[in-house]
Amino acid sequence: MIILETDNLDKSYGPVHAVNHLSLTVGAGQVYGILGPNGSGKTTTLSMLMGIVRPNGGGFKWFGGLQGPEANRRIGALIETPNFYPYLSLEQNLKIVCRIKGIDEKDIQRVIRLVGLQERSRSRFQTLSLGMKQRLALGSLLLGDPDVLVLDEVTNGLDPEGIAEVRTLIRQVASTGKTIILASHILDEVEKVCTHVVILKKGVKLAEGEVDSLIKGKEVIILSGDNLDQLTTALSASLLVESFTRDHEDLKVILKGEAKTGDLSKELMEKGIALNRIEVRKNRLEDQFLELVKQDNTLQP
Amino acid sequence: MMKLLKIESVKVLSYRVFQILAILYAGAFLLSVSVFPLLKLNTQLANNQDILNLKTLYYFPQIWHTFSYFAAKSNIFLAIIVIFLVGNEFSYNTFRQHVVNGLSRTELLQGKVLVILCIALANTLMVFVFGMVFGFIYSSGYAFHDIFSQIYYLGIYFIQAVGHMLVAMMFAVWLRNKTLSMVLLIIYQYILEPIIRLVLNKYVLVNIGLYFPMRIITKFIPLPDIAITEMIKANTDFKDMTTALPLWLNLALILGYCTIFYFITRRILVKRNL
Repeated sequence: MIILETDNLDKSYGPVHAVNHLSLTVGAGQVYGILGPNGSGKTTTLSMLMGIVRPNGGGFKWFGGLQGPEANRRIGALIETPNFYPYLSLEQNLKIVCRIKGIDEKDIQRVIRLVGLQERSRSRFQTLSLGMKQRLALGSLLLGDPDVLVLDEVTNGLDPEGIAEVRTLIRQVASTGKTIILASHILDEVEKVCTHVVILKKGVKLAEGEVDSLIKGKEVIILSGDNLDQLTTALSASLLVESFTRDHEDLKVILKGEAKTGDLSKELMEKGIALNRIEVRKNRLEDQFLELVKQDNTLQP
Repeated sequence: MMKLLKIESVKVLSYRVFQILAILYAGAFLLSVSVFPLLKLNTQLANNQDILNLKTLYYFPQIWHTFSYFAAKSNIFLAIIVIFLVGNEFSYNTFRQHVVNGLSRTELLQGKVLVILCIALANTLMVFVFGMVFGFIYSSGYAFHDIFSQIYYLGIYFIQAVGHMLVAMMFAVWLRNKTLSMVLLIIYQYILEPIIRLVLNKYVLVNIGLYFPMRIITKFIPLPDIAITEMIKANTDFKDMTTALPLWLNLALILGYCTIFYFITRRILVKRNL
């Protein structure tokens, strides 16, 4: 079943083309990551999907044909920052959410316990720490146990413990078969929790697919030697190499599909190039992500 | 409708600024109506006859006119309450969150209109209660059927209050900033529009100023008759008081303006990104 479908969604802010003809499909039960550096259009995309930013063109459908309030009431969404009334207590704030979504107010205590804020439930929102505010926001989107969650940079501003807690929570929720759409600029996060991913750069879709095939698959080999120029020339000529980048004294190499690290080492040795260092890094997502984002042409998995 | 009211009630009733401003408003009104009849104005004429007994303003049914007039004078407080309530939704990003949670933009606005109607109703009730109390204290010898003969002034007060708050809401939605909205509303109401009215009255068409929104919203209820009008007439031989617009026209204009303000606000809210 398709939960969300966008068709050439487009948004410009003056000269800035924030989202450029974006088409996505999110299926039921997927944990769908929207990955991209800052300013790549992630928040704008989610804002359009939740009806707070008007698209300039294109369209989208939730649940096979819904849009606007009717769809939103079935989704738990957190865009950017937690937005609550600072002078109201946690319970009062959640009461407002329940009344908007038409949820039984008994559910408030459940979610407050779920995010571990039961001792603060009568405190005013403004007295909470940043991490607690974020947890309350997560609690609020779990009200009524929605089938779809939309999360935008949820771990922003949290300490490592908070980040781990939030990720555990997301995985728990995902394991119950819910669909989660998650925007993040942190690869590690996407890799750890998502099943599917779309990579955006300046509003353009660079790649879309399963996380395993898209960003987990490739290895990066770090090489260094005394004569880097010679090494560079050899790598450019090699048929085993898909691409490489220079990072200070190191060269980061990505091999073609079937090629093995040993083959490359042998080839270089035959050319009489001595290496000081050869290191294989698995899942160096950062490198691959940067690699992907650097290329301007659209890439299909 | 009930749903929106229930949502708004949580936000409004626990809001300290609202509580304080509401108490201030009621206090200011009570104070002004209690102090006014004690004033001794220098209104004696040559023959040493005091033509102006302020206490007569508190007799039934005149009191409805007097109290509505006073209450309308302080409606700017109500407008400021509305600017705070609407401005908060922008500064806390809660309008945005409401839409994310599943309210339509029109519902956001309807919720606020309901709050405005409730505030206006509560104030009209307050004026009514004070009016009854003071009327019974000051009136001597009233006929029961006469007590309520000018009660329609309360209705006019209600519409004025709603109009004033709708203008405030329009400013707050347009500017999305409490301080700026407040400053601009005050400048417009007390400086800009009066100047425009003066200039137009003088150079374009006499009395055209009577048709302006803030003129009607703030000055729909004229000064209670016997007091100052009598004074002016007696003192200056002033025969022709400025002709005011007939009641029905004033009513039609104020309702028209309310409708226009509502739709302008709606258009801004529906079109813009939140």
